[in-house]
Amino acid sequence: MSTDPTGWRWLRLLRRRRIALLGAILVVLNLLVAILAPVIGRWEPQRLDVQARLAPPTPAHWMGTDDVGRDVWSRVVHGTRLSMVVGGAVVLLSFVGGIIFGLLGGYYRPLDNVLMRIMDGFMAFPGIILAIALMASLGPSVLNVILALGIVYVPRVARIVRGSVLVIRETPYVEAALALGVSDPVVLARHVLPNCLSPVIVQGTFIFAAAVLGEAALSFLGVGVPPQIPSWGNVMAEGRLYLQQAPWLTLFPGAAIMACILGLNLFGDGLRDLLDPKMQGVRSAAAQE
Amino acid sequence: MRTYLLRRVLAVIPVMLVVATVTFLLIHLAPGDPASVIAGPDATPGDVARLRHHLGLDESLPAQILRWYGRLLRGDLGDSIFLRRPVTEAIVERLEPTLLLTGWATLIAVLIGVPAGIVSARYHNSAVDQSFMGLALIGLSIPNFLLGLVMILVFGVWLRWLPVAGYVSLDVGLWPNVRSLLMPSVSLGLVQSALIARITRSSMLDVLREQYILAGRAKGLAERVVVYKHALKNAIIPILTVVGITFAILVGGAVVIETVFNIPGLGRLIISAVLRRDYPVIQGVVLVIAVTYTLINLAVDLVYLTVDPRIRYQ
Repeated sequence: MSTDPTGWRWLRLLRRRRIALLGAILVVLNLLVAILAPVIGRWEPQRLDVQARLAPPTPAHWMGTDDVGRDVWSRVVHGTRLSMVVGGAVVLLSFVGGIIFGLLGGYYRPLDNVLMRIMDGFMAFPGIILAIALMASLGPSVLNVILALGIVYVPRVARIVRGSVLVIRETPYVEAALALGVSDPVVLARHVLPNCLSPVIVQGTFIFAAAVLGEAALSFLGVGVPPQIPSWGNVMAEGRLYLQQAPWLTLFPGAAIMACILGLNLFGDGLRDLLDPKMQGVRSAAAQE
Repeated sequence: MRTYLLRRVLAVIPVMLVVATVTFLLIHLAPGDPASVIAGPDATPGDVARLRHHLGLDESLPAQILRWYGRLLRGDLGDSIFLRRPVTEAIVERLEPTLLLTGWATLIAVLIGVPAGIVSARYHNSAVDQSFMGLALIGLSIPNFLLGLVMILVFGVWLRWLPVAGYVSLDVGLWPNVRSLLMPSVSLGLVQSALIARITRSSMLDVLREQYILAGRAKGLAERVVVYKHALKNAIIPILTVVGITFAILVGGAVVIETVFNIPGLGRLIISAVLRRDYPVIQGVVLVIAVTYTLINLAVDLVYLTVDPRIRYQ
């Protein structure tokens, strides 16, 4: 048993929870589509064909075409790629920021009050509203969407990390390390940080889902990524204008979003049950915004 | 209890200070000179200078921020650049549809979510529980704008039961108003009810594991009495919190739903302001929403005091 590589042990644990496995499969499928987008996309996502505008699904265009004759399948597949990049980058950004602020706040008492009041202030804005306001200043681009959504989720990660650090800093092993003369940064990095990661990792799957939804909503509203870039939200924004003539423009990207978010939610729920049994059934509201 | 009350009320002050500072900084976050960005590429240098002066951007940063705090304390949010009128006026005018939309959506979400959560907890791990929680998980995975668009397609375009979009003011009549808000409220509320159902269930399950529930059952109380009288009363606090927290998600959702259904509320106001770079309006709407959210959470905390005597004596 102990000779098992970690990867296999994880897989076995996941297999015990069928639903979580289904979620993992959906997530992996999304990642595969994202990686293989240029191969399985079949058409250039930007290729115009005004002759074939608003065409229903056919063997040539599996998901039909949009108002300027671009292939919807190709745009949805490339949209998957964008969603995965945005989701991953937002998780990374919010982890880096949140872990730094959380460690500092939880470990250094004088800093704690100031840092946490600032985090509270940021959390007083509903996520999407703050993201919209930031996008207004930053301007539409993929990088700015990542920045805006990343800023939204930093305080949420920071709070979780801080909560764990407050408990861990009182443990005998931290005390022992300090007594042996280990410096603060080393204690934080080697002893505190690894022990507060599991709730953060669980939160990561929900932040990933929230970021994918957030990007779709921002782009749908016209304040996300620029309209020519294929994104699920952008395709649906065009679809809204042709809902009656061309419902496929709305329904296919909508189904893609649902499959992706459902997969992440199932996977996240399963992961939480594995890593953090106390939290069973409770789910951070952060992921919903 | 008095110290708790005082501490809780005072805790709002730093939050408000950060909120005010962040909204102030929004205008300075844009790359380049904010005045020329707002004025647009066609503006003459004279226009830009006039706008810069009008917005007070020609003063030093500390002077600007102090003036901003001072204005906020007087309830002055400045003037819109494009609407050429006070921001507060524009916000008040757009308040009705947003308030009604979020109100109906909350009602729908609570009416569906709370009973579903209670039933799921009472019949824990049964087929009912599993199908409710499956539905809730699907509900959490649907973007509200997708649900809205699908409803427009089904009930507006195919069945022609309801108007596809638009808003009828309450002044015209209650029924036309409700009719115009029916689909938007349902698409907003259904997604929300999934979240409320999940949290209601888990907080009920926590309470049902308590000793006094066991005692109630042991002395032969009907399961109905145990669940609805003893358990629900104690599970109500987490449920209340969720209704408070979900306000943020609800308002965020309303912004998107208003675009889907062309409802002239706060959401439309802020989105059109973003597209026109009308910073005073953006700042005003963001500020009003954040302050409302903070006050709602304060109100929820104060309600706890009356619902749960345990907190009072801590």
